[in-house]
Amino acid sequence: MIEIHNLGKTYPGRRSVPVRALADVSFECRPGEIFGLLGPNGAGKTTALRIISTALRPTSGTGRVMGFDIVADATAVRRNIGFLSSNTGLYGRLTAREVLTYFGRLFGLSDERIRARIGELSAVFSMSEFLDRPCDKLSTGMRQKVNIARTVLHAPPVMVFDEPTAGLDVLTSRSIVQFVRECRREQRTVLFSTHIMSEVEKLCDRVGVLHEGRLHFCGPIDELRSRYGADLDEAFVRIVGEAA
Amino acid sequence: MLAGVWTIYRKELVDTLRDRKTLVFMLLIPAAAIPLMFAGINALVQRAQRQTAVEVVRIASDADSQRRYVQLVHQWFLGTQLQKTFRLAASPLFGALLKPEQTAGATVPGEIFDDPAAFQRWTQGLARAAREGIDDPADKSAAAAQIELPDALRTELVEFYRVALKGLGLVEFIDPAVLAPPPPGFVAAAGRPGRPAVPGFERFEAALRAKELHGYLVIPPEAERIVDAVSPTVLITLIHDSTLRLSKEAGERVAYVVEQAGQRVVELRLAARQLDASFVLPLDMQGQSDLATESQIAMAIIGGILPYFVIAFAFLGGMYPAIDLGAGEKERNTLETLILAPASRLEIAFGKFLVILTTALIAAFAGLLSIVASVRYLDAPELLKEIQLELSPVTALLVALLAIPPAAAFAGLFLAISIYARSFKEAQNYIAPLQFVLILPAMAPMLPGMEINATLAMIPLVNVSILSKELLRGAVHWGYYVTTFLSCFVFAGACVAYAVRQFSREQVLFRS
Repeated sequence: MIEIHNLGKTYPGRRSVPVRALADVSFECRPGEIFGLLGPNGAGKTTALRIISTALRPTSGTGRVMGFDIVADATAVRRNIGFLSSNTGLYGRLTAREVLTYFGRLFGLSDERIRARIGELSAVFSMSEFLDRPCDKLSTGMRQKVNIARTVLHAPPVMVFDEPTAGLDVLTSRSIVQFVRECRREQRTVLFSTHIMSEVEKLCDRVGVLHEGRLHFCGPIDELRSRYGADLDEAFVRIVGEAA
Repeated sequence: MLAGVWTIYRKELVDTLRDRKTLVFMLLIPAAAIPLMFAGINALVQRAQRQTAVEVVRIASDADSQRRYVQLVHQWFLGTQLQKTFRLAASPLFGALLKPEQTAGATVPGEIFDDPAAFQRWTQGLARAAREGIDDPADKSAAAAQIELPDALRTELVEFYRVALKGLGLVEFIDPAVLAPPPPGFVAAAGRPGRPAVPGFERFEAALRAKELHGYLVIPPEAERIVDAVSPTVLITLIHDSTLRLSKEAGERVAYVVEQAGQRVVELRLAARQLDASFVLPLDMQGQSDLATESQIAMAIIGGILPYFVIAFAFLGGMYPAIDLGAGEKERNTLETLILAPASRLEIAFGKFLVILTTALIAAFAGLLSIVASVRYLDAPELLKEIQLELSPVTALLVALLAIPPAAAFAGLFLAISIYARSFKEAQNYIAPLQFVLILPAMAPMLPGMEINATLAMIPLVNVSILSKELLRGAVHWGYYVTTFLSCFVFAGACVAYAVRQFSREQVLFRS
């Protein structure tokens, strides 16, 4: 469960002129639901996701993940989140198994539990063939599988995806979309940021449309369609246009 | 906390040790640099020494000056103990100067003891025959050191080599009259003010510049009556140019001959007047009054140089992993994943600090071992070869442990810089110039009058370099030793604290 109330973020800009990245953003994301955060580049999506995952601190507002405050209980929040983006890197000189073991230990899992989880995830994502190869030698698709496995290794109830398919080929994107669906089936809370409308249509139950740091729409996909038209691209353009 | 640090340390160390560049900086360079340096310097020095030692120098001199010069060398020879040995025709001393195959037919002609000209011809023949077998007398691997001789004779043999063979046998005298006139437009240099005038100076200088000639010798007639008539000091002139290799060699050879021949004249004058050597040496310092043993003196010198290498290797060993563990994480997009794990920023920074400390220490120890091995098994510099170094295991351990403070200081500093930098290249740009700044304190012990005190013991790196010098010369200052560790660890701790702060700063973590 993710609950965000009046979230704001201002960065110190050049010559002491602050840059507002987020202002007064509120939404909720429930277990078994995929919430899509839509917006053009620079809308504030990544900032919002980083605040929720505790990489950044909000300037104003509050947020809770599985009941833990994103500022006061940052460590507890991290234990409950799996974070994935398209450009998340891996340690090239370590094997996939070593990377997974490292993160398992960082998340406090016992070595026995880590071994068991790697076995399970290797079967789910068909990784056994390349589990002991250095990550540098893996294809993009294989790396993304390792990344997904790393994200869910500690079985987090909340998943945060920051444009996870950006720059990936069709097959790899497809496997990620399937994985996101699987998360919903497993009753996880899924927050998904993208600017690809086809993914929104395929995946999201509810969406929030961000533009210049403000949330201009928040509700179910059907409501978005009924208010702004059936075509999601058109609807998105209309919302952004109205906001401007 | 400890479990988190251990997890990060273990992973980062494995990751770092799999990197070839790290292995090159951490092991290969420290291990290979010193042996290569020793081997290279020795090869160059020995080659230059051998080459110069057996080369013939050409000196312009009129017949009278040449005769007087030969007389001086002959007079010197007759005053040596060595000449008595040479009077035994099949002197075993030839074995010290010639190769075994050359010794077989070598004899000492009787006339060399009476006729200076015959002596000159003999030295020329001997010197040229022995050229291949002659090594510089400073080189203890020379034949002279390989046969059993009393010390006094061995010293005289070396002197004979320098005075009679190099100073006379390997000198070719040229009549100044046969020197070609200078080329048209040649302008002679004035030389130093007060330069002695010689006839036909322009022709001589043109030949000197053309490297056909290496010196111009003038010995006044007073040199012939020098033993009997106590005249004002006889000034011998050798015009040469010390910027030209063989001309400099000619200057040195003649100067040495003059010095030795002068001493011989003093002996003869004293003997003629039945005076003791103390007559001209009324005061002298008692030898062997220095409490420091040769080993301690050598250690004091080594102590000035050793910390420089240890600090430089610790720098090299820590630099690359530090850049990789901070800025490298940003560049590979792995930093965000790491900070989203439940490990605290302190655990992350400290784990990384320990890895950098480890690699810096491995490099420093590899360098130290390499220095020890090079001194022991390679052609070490003269000083180290001649003196039996005495180093107790405790001192050796204390010196080795002194690699820890600079390694810690570098690890902290590099980590802070690396985390601040936005890319690998930027971190390199910040750290590489530090080499020049941080190596300076390593040179502190080479400065005169630098001794450890309370203030210096608190300055990181300076304290390490001065303290290791003190340790090597045999002085253990426990208080300063502990202070040195503390000061470097406080510095490293401050740097790690700064790194932790940088790890918590959004502007730094997400700079791009």
